Amino acid sequence: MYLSAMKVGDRGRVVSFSAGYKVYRRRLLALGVTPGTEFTVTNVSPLGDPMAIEVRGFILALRADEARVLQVEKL
Amino acid sequence: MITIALVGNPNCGKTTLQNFLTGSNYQTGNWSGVTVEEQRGSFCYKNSSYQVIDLPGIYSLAAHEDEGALDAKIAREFITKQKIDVIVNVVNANNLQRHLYLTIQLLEMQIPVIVVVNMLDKAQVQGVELDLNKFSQLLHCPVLPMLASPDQTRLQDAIASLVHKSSVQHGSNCFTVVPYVKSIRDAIEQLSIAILPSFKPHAINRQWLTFSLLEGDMLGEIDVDDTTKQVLAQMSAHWREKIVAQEGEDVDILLADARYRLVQNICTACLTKKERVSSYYNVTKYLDHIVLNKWLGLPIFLLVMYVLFVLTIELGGKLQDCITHVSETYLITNLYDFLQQQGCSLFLTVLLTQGLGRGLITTITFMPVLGALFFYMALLEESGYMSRAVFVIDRIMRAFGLPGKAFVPMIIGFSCNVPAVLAARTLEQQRDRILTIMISPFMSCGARLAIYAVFTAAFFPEHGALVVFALYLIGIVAAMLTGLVLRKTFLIGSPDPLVMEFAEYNLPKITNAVRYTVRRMWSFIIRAGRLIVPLCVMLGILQSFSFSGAINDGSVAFPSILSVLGRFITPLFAPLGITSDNWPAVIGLLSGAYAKEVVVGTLNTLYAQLGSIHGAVQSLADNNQYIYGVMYKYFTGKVGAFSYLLFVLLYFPCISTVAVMLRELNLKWVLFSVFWTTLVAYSVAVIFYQAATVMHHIVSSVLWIGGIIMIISIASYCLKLLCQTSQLK
Repeated sequence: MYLSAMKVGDRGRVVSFSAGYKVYRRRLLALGVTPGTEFTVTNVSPLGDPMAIEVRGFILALRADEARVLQVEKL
Repeated sequence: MITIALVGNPNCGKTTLQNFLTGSNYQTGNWSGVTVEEQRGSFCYKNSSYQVIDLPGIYSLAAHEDEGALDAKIAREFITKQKIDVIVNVVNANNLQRHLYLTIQLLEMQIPVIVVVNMLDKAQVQGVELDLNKFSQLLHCPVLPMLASPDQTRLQDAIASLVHKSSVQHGSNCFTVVPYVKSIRDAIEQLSIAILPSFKPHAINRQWLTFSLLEGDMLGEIDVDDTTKQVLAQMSAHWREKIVAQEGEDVDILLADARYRLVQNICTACLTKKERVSSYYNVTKYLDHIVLNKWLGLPIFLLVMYVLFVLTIELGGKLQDCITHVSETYLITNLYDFLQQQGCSLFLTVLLTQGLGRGLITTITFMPVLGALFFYMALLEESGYMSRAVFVIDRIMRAFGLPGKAFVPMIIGFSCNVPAVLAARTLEQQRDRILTIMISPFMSCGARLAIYAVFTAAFFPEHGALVVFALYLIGIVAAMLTGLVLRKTFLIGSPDPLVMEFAEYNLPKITNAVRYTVRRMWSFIIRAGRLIVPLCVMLGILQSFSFSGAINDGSVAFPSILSVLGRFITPLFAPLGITSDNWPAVIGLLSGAYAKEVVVGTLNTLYAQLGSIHGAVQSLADNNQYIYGVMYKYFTGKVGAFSYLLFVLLYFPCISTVAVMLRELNLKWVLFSVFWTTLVAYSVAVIFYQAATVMHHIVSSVLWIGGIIMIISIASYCLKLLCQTSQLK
């Protein structure tokens, strides 16, 4: 499933990356979003789009459609 | 001279460390060719001098071959290609895992590294203890705590002795503890042997190059002959395939995964967490809950922006009037008298007062607005709200094809376009920066509001607010359409993808904000002033001299070069309703090239004198009413006035905006902006006027509107062609 299917408060785990925009993927990797990493959805923007997840002790904002390079599972 | 590079994640406290180390002994400048600010400082300790370079914050050293993230690229190039004696890596104890990822990469490069741990006190509050000795052992490098109020010499002493120790050991401590899988270790070994003969040790960091090649990067950039390049390309591709086949995962993921596993092990070994609900973290969560709330998020954002607006327009604007008044007295009137008394020639006097004096005033008058802006932005940035604001507004900005961060320049544009152009710097991608700067002149600035005020009083006393509101909206629409045209031609692509860390909430420190403001203002005076002053001198000459070389005596009939040109080109404005005897309107537009504020003054003077020539009786008390009356007579009614206002809204950005654009971008983009804004202004005004008066002259109206639409289509098509040919190159 994709990140966009998750709701605020949900816990999840990164399963895999699909081959996508390389720069974007590298940025996520550098910030510690690696396969197996667990996260919690903390906020959704008032306008519905960027989502914030807590991962490795900090909060990261991602756009739902760009985050489709991530396959995630709900815990 | 020993070179120390400060490296770390964005907002890790590098700049604070720089200030502690070097005090006020630093210079700021731009990295050559780009607009990312560079800060260098130096200090002397025990007869050695140390140069400290604060590099832009980065999360990783991985090379991306695209244009994005200019500042990250600068930091990366500096670290991998320059001679650095020691890297001081600042990490945040609150967020050790992510900060250590970069540390591991730095250690792998085998340059001496000193780790400085920041925010230890905050971590302690949250019940986290860090064993610094163990930390140092596991990282195989010296570790220093950064204290809340460090003693400067102690810090210098510690770093100096560590620098000495590190340089003695240089190269002896290979950092090989990252748990890479076997196939990656083999690949690294083979590749590093292969590149050994082709690269001198100081040209590029070879360890880093090995990793980059393995990830499939850097091949286009390395400086070797074609055969070597081919060999390296084949070799790295071969290893990548082999690794993917064996491990079932891509190289970049395997590398990041292995490094993060090491980081996690180090953290588990050194950090002891007491089971206590951390008060600080709760504050962040609580504030985020309010600030990002579904219903409160947008109103809070608007409120914060409103305060920005009030500060720059009201406070900055009021001060601006005051400063203009005072500086005009000194730099123009008094200087004029003084030079005349000294027996200067009239030519030189006029050149110095109307040119140089005017130019300096124009530069100075931006100070209050810019100061208010920079100060408020520094407070917002430090408070941690800025990243939340981006989060809230991102969706709307994407309608413009821009990332969320671009809201700052666009909103500031409503007070003044100059800081708007400067604020576009905060965007990471060159494409986003250009796009933002190109649309910012369409944000109707405060100076233009002054012109609207005069015209609404004269022509639309009952629907003034509506007219002004319509003008602002039309400006925004023009900005969106310009953005659309550019996105279809020169700036194809999508905005920078959003991967943004929420900054921690902080109580902003006034001293930091003041320091930041002073630094930015100083840099503006030095660099933008250098362009504004000569441009003003040029305009001053055009306004003060006639073609025959006579000097302006201040009378309305004086044929200054500018006014002759104005009368000459007045017929060009006939299609938008300006008749040939309304030439003052055109001169007003020309003088608006200085600054849009000047338009009102010019129109006042010209219409007042024009009125008196025609023998109208004028009493001082209703001077304004009188001028409105004259204006009413010369403009072709409300329709003519509104089409004039449309032109004023959209045409040529003022000379100061042009100057900062020139500084931030290049001549080609500035020329594009000047032509494009003027073309759009002319088209919109003509189409409006002709459509509104179509009943009076159907044929010519239709012809004009058709002609303008054709010109715009041709211009857009030319842009497309130009774009294609430039891409072919």
